[in-house]
Amino acid sequence: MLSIRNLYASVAGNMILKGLNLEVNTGEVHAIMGPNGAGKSTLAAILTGREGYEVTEGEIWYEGSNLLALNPAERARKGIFLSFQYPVEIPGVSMANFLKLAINEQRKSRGLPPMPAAEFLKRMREKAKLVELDASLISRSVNEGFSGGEKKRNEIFQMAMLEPTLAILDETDSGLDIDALRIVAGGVNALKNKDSATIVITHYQRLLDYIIPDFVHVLAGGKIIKSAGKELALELEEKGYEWLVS
Amino acid sequence: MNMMQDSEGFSIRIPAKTQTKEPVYIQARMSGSSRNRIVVEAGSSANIVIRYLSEEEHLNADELNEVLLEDNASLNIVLLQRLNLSTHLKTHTTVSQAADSMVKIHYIALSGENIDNSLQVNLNGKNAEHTAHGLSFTEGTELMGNHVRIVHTAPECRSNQLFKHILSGTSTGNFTGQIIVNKEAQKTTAYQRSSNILLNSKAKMNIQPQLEIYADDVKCSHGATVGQIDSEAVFYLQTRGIDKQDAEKLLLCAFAEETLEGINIENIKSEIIQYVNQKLITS
Repeated sequence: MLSIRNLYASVAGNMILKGLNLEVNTGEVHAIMGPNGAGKSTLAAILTGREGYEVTEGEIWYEGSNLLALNPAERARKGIFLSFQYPVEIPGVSMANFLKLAINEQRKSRGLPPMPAAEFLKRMREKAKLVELDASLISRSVNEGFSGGEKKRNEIFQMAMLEPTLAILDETDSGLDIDALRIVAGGVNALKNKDSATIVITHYQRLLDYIIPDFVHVLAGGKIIKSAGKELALELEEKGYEWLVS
Repeated sequence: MNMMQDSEGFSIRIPAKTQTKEPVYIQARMSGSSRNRIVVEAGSSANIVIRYLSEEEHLNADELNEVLLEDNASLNIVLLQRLNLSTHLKTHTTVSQAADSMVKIHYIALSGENIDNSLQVNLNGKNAEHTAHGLSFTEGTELMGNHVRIVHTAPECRSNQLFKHILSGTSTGNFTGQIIVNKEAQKTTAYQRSSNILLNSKAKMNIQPQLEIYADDVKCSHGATVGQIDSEAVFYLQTRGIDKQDAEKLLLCAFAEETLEGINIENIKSEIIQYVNQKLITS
């Protein structure tokens, strides 16, 4: 589904990714771990097409398309979703209007008519329940005045509404207490299916107690230096990253 | 309600204890100078919409509005300005408010070569409230200014100013906001905010806040910002499948709509939102 080949990327003239390779197939959960500054968030930025990041070499293919040729909205409409490390507050834009627009733009690109209002409302209720997001938050502006935990739950709520094929969770565990972590992970697990894949970017092993990865990759110095099964996360927790990096 | 309109201007008087349900619509004279007067007598309320429209080229209009609110009167007034791109308009409005009165005034300036709105408010009676909002769009070489001076004379009054400009091209916006709290005006609450978005680096916004506070028990604040569309918010919307242009439009609409809060004439509000949308498609 996703194939990253020999990716080199820079931001503000600094080369951050230096020959990164990654293959993700449907039904899989990949964890990308690594020390701070290794390029984890850069990878998320490149995959979603954030401005200011330049790919200087390599290619990314996603479901048969050259991902780098698509703009961020087109990528989203192809089913790529990013759960932000720092979700953005958007005063004056209500959650409902925002999601209605997003869903209908995505449906339009698939040749579907706008979602009927009743179905949309029903889905909002169901998915809010899934991540235990208070109904009152849904009537507010996007992320405005949400607590840190509510923002992260709102990311997973949006993911549930949009049903992506590839979900990228960028440091979703940062700033979450154990209860919130459990709820967020529960939401992610409930949305997992054989046609979709998840990339979990995290500094700590903690989240991987709840979202069990099929593969764990260590990203350091701009490339993946080790890949293994879920047991690698525990080993990293115990020994840190130094033994791999040096 | 008594209303008359002649070559000099219009005059409206809402007699005491009258709640006018239907809004009053007035077409402003768009050439020469006019003098208008609105009186809302004790215990009455009114909704007034003044439309400024110019079809002809190179009009020049100068308008003086005198607004008087007696005790416990309330007025919701919208000045909707959509002018020919060669029209110059100057409005000067003075509002005097007696005790327990309430005024909400909205300046919506959508087009015109040069629009200059000035507002002077005197809060003369205890517990009076004044809300002044403004939304101005400028493009090309348009110039629009809002100049507000609110004088708190009586105690326990509240005033709130919110003015926003969205500027593109090489257009210019001006905002002068004065709050004056006299010595007797204890327990005053007065807020002022000027938020502005430049869509082009050649557009220019000038802001001059000015607070003069002579009483000691007051709550006052002012804030001013000039910036661009929040690129982080645009990206966030894009990652949900919304195209960049639509995302920017959505954000600008949200930015603009905050100034429409308090307009209680629904069809005018939706008319304005429609104009705002049109504006954003072309800018």
